[in-house]
Amino acid sequence: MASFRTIPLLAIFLLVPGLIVAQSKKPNTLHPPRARLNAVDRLSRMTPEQRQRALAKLSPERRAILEDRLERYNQLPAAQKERLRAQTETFQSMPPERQEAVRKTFRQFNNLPDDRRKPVQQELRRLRSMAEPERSERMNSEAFHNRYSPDERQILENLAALVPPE
Amino acid sequence: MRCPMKTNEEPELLLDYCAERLSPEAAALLENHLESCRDCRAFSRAQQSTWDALDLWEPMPVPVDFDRKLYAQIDKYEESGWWTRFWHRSIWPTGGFGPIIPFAAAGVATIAVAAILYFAPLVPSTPQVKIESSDLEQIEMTLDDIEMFKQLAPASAKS
Amino acid sequence: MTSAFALEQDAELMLRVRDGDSVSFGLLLERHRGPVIHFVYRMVLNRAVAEELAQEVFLRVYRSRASYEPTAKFTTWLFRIAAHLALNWIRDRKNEKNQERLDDDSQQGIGLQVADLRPTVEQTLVGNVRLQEVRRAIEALPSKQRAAVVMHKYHEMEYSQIAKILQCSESAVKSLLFRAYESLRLRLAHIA
Repeated sequence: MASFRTIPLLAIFLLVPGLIVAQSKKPNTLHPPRARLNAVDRLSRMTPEQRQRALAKLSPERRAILEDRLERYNQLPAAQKERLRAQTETFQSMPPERQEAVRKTFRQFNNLPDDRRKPVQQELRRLRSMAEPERSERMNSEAFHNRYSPDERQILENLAALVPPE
Repeated sequence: MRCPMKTNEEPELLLDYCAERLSPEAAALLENHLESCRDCRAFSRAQQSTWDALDLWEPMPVPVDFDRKLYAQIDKYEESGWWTRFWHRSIWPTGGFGPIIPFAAAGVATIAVAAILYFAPLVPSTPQVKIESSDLEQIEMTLDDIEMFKQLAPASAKS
Repeated sequence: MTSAFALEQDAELMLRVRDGDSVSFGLLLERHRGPVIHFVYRMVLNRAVAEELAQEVFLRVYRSRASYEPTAKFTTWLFRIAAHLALNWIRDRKNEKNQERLDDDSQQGIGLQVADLRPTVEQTLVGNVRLQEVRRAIEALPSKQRAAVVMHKYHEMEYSQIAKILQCSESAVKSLLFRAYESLRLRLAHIA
């Protein structure tokens, strides 16, 4: 154990001056998915005062939305949180254009009328819990065509195929 | 079977028997012996009663705000200076220092003091709670994605 | 106390904590918070102190995550930290001159525990007396014997694991337990 512990010490020895200088010139790069998720966790654990300072640059509207999302994320059971984190990490590791396609379809799904969103959501959950052959069979069935409009079928097809599996 | 009390060989057999940790075969063997050995029988009865009496003591309930207090301490630790964090990491969690730690700490401290004195004007004084605008956008996007997966989760994965 | 699979899972989670995954830390906390609090409480016999020490256990786990190596079972490592803190607290407490009673919350604790079972008044009184006897008998044990009994009886640990936690040989653990149970048998003979 002791030999392992010398590694971080040596790293500090060599990197401290570099880090101090580098800190002030940090470029605005896209962080890896894991780092983004950890940033979410850090933000969610801040005290209200710290969070207020951290989010000071956001407009009141954006801040309210973000805080609401954080609150809901915080209230999730640990196991569900872990599952969602894993999915998000996989998803954010996909090519950006693929991610954007999923987000766009999801926006279309959110714009469905209230009375259609729920059945489509239920159908999507059902499709995502199916293995591929079973899913294809269901999507090609007559009942499926009768139950959903072409737009809805498109949304279901895109999301079921593009979103990474559980 | 040799008497565990008289021979003092594997006397823990009697403890294990009362704790129901013996295999069925070993328990059967010991029970055979108990029928013929008064000392072991008396020991076993007394131990069993003690074992049962100890069951009376139920654990304390877990405090409701345990996690909140712990995370507050973790945040405090994270916001402390790097030297405090380094110092805590140098102490083994089970107590004591690693053998090389005092020497390494002395060396690093010297270098760190020199570096801090030399670079003092460059050391950013920004608190850790400050988050860049670009980082905030990424956090917003990540929360949106999490929300999306939450809504799309199959029924079996909801809890 | 936990299956081999669970132990592997703990080590896996801790390695993820080492890599910066805070959700894994939350899962470890969820799994082990109860056992650690219960262990520490049975060692120090004071709720407030138990809570404080259990917090320190998890804080130390968090602080030392970067140097974590799965060389031992995670629970062995965790309980070694807990035992170290509890034994130190007991030692320091012993050295204090004007020692308060350790069981300052005993009445409240017993009241809560027995009340939950909704017994009659008489049963409650008898239960209280018996429970107090058990607490006193355990409190009277030397601290290392107490640690061994608590891990053996309440956490169902093997001798080998207790030995690793207390950093002594397996035969020393068996001897500790033998002497401890002998004292308990004598002290509890009249209520057992």
